[in-house]
Amino acid sequence: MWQALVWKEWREQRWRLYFGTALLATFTVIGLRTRLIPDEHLVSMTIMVGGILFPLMVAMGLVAPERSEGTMVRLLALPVRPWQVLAAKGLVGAAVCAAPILISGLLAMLVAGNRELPWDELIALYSVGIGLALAVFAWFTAAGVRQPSEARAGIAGIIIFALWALLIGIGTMIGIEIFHEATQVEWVAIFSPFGLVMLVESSAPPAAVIAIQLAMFAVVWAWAAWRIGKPGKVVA
Amino acid sequence: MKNDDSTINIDDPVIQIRSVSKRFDKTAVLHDLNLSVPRGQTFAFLGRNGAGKTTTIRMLLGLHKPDAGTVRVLGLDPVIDAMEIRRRVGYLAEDQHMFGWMTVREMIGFTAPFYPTWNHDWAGHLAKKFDLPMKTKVKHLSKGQSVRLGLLLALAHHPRLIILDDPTLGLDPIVRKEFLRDLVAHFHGSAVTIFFSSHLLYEVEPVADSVAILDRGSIVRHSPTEQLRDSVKQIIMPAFEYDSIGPLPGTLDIKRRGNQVAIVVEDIDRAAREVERTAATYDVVDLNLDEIFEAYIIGKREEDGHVASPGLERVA
Repeated sequence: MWQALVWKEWREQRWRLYFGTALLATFTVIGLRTRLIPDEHLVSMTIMVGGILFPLMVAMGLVAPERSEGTMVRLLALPVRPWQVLAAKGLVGAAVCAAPILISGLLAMLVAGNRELPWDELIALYSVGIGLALAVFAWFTAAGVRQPSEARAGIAGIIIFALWALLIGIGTMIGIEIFHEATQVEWVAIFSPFGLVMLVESSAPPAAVIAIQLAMFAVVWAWAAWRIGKPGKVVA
Repeated sequence: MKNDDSTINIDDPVIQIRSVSKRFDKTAVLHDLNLSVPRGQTFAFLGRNGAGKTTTIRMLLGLHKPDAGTVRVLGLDPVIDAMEIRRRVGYLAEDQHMFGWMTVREMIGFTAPFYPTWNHDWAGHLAKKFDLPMKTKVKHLSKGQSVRLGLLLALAHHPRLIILDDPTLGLDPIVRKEFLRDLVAHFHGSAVTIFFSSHLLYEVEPVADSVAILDRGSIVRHSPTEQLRDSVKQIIMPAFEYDSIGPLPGTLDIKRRGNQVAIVVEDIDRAAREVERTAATYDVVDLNLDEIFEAYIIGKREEDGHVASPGLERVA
């Protein structure tokens, strides 16, 4: 059963993997070879594209098309639990999100390893990138899991993203205005989809950041699993 | 895996719905629904589009939970044992939404692992019998082929109960007849129960042992098909005689045409006795399932103050 579910998801998602990998790999190799911008900036840009935009694209195409095409009811009417359907989708989707960053990171090390950025820093940056992609993917998937179309799933994901950005932005402004620092806001940001960036940007203990992100990851997937099981109202 | 018969006695109904209600937000879809389907029957579940057929079927499969009441399918509660019910039931949904990019072979191969009782030889036999092109993508199948593929997927695990949700929706009349012929040929004389939802009455008439008519979320009639045809009939009599008798018991629908009145009654014996007491002259006309359905559904709607059919003068 698992094999059948994963096979189906792989056949549906593999083109996104090919596209994402080709895009990020080409961008990384050309960028690092031409050296138009510093390596650190280029790596950061790669991670932003691969860690935020690409997961949005993958999450949009995960559940919503099944609802708009009517195949979700067929899936849910099989003797399979909704969370199992979501797990297969999540597993393949996570691989599709992580692989382009991983391959891009390996290429970056081949082309520019230890050039401007030391090995360990490159590895850390790409590891955060993969973690960021997985966390953002989880949030976008959970937001779009009940949406009837890809466009609405995308909008739902962007709204969640914007609300977090707003919360952190306003929190930072208030923190600086009142306390002349934004340490408290850092702790709010750690709970957000982009909390893993705090491993690089904040003074919070890395173990705490990772633990909170893992907990949020579990909560978000549980939320998505709870919501995916409903086939939608049909008055017929 | 449990044996198919381990949760139900031979005399127990295969489907039992008791006082079930369901709402979606503010829309009440089912109210106090009661239904019982005995083993081995072909059971027609009739209703107009939007009557609540699909919601009921989804409840049987555990896809929706009832707000009130109890549901049992093969002796199991769909809220608790949805997985076990889905393993034992063959389900053919309305609008055959399948994964268009899969070939017919891939669609069969994808579905098989979910059912422990899947029979590959039987699936192969059905594919040949239904003349399904195994290498063709599902999106390139004709509507008739899609429905046949859906039927194959619903039958290949030897279910004891088959639920067909308006399976012939969108099919042309010839393909519809072929589908019903295939269905009857496969299950004639078997212990398999078929729960067949439809809004096309004439298509279920030749195959249904029992009929339930659903209107706006409630069952308005539930009986064996023969009994329904024997009891629901039309009485035609002169208008002046009808006016002197007054309303007949169990009236479902009344139409006036010139100096004649046509009255559809639920129990012809009772109504005829009433007419004979007054020595009025009358004729009795047999009705087909379509006309009976119309009397139950449209007749009642008009009593409720809805618009009457054009060209007919209705008696309030």
